[in-house]
Amino acid sequence: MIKVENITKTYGNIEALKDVSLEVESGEFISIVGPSGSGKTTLLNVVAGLLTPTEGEVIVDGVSLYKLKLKQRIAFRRKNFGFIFQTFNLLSYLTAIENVEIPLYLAGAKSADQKPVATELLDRVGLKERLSHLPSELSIGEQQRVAIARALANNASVLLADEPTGNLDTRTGEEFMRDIKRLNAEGVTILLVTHNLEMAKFANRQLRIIDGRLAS
Amino acid sequence: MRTVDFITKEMGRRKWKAAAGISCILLGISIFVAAQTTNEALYEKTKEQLLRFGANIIVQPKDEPFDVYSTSPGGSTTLPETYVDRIRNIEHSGMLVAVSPKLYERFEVGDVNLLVVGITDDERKAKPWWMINKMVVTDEFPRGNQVLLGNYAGAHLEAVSEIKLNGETFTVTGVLDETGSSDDFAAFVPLDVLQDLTGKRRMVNVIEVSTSCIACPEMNLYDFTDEIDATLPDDAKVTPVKQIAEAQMETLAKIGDFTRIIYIVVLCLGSFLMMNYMSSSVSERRREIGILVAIGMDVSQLYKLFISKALILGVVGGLVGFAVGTLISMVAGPQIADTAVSPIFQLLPYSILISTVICIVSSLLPARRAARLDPVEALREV
Repeated sequence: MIKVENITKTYGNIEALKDVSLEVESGEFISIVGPSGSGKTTLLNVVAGLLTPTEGEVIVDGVSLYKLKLKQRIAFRRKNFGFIFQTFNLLSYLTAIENVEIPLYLAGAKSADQKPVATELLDRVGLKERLSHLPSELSIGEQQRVAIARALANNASVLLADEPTGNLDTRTGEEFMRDIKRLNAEGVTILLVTHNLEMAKFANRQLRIIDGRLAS
Repeated sequence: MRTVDFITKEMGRRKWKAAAGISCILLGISIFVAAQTTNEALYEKTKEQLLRFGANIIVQPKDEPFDVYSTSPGGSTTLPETYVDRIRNIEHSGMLVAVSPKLYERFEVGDVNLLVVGITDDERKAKPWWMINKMVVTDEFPRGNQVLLGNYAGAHLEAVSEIKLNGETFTVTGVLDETGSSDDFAAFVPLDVLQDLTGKRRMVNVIEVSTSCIACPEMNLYDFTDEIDATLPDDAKVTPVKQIAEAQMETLAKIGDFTRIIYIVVLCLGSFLMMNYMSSSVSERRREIGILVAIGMDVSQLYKLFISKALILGVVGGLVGFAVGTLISMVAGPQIADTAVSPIFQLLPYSILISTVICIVSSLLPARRAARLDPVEALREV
C-alpha cells in the first residue's frame, strides 16, 4: 500500500504540488490525468523516491521513503518499483535482452542468472524472437514492451508509468494499455500519469490533477 | 550483463569517442616510452664514449704520488700483483670493464730514453680506441718478446723492427696511431716479461680500473672506490679519477633531468586530456545516467562504472602506447642517439601502471559529477 500524505513541492516561488494526499491499495490501477505543467510527473517522481518533497511523507508498505538514507532508498526503489517512461529510455547500445538485464545487474544478480529471467520477461511481452535486437531495430511498440519487461525485471510490485503512450499511435497505445491491464490482473499495482483521457479509462480509478492539486 | 559488458558495449557503440579517449592517454604513454627508450640508448652510448677517457679508478702504492698523465711516472714503489685478483673478486665485479695492472721502467734504446710499460690483456679492454692505421689492435698486441710502440716513441725510433731491452731482443709488432695521451711516448710489452726483465716478479706500479657504471643509481664511481678500498690492504691507495667521473656524472644527470621533465609534461598532458574526455563523456551521457539512477543504480555502482572504464582505457592505452612509443624510438632513435635502439620490455608494466593511474585519477572528478547528477533533471533532457 502506498500512502502519500500532505505532499507539497515547491521550486522557488512556484508550488508544483500543493498538499497532495493519496492512498493506493495493493493491486490497484490508478490513472492521474492532467494537462502539461499540472504537476503529475512531479507527483510520480515524489512517489518513486526520486524527488524529495518540500513537505509531507510517502509511505510504502509501512516504510517512510524519505526517512531512508539515499543508498537504502535506491535499493528500496530497485526492489519495489518498476519505471516506464514516455520515451522508453532504453540504452541504445544494448540489445533488448541486455536492457532487461540492467535492473538484475544492478540488484547484484549473477550474469548467468540474468539471462533466463530476462528471456522469460521478454517472452511474456511477446518479444522472444527479438532478444538480440538493438532498440533501433525494434518498432516503437516493441521498444515500449521492452521497457515493460525491464520495469518488471526485479519482480516489482508497483509499476510507475509516466506518459507511456505519449509517443505511440492510438492502436499501439491501446495495445500497450491492454498489456498493462493484464499485468494489473496478475497483481501488479499500477500508477499511471497521462494527459490522454482515453488511455486513463483503462484504470480502475481515475484522478485528476490541476495546478498541483489532486481531485477525483 | 556485467560491468565490463556495459563498458565495452558503450565504447563499441561510440567507437570514435572511445578511440579519442584512448588516444589521449596513448599520446602521453608513447612519448614516455619513446623518450625513455631513446634516452637509454643515448645513455649507453654516452657511457661507452665517456669510458674512452680512460680508467675511472687508480690503485697505487700509498706512499707514492702518481700522476696518470705524467710521461715519467714514478716506479720506485710497487704493489703485489695479487691485488688484481682481489679487485676482480669484489661484490660488484660484474660491473668491471677492465682491471689493468701496469709496471713502468725506463730503458736506453739507442739515444732514446724509452718508457716501457708492462701490460696485460685487460689493457686492450680498457683502451678500445688503440688503433694501428685506423684498425683496432688485434694481432699486434704484444705477446712474449714483442713490443708495441706508442706513436711518438715509434717516430723517435725511426721504423725499427726490433729493439733491445736489457740485452733482450723484442720484435716491434706495430706503432699505435696518435692517442693524445702519455701512451704516445711509451712502448708496451707483456707485464710478466717486463717483471722478469726488471726482477720485479709479481709486482706492479699501478692498477687502473675501468667500470661500466659511473653514475648508476645503485652503484656510482665513489661506491666502487670504497668497495675496492675495503678489499685491499692499507698499503694501497684507491683514487677515483674525479675530473672524468664528475664530467660523466654531470652528463648522465642531464640526460636523467631531460627524461624527468618529459615524464612530468607527459603526466600532466595525459591527465588533462583524460579528464577532459571523461568530463565530456559525463555531459553527453547525462540522460543515460539519469535512467540508470532511476532504475536503481546507486553512487558506488556509478563510480564502479566510471573507474572500470578508466581502468580499461588505462590498460589499453598503456599497451598500445608502449607499442607505438617503442616503434617511434626505433625509427627516430637512431637519428637522435646515433646508435641502434632496442625495445625495453621492462617498460611495459610501468606504461600500463602509469597509464592506469592517470586514467583513474582523471576520472574521479567526472565520476563525482555524475554521481551528483539529479536523475529527475537528467531525465527531463531529450
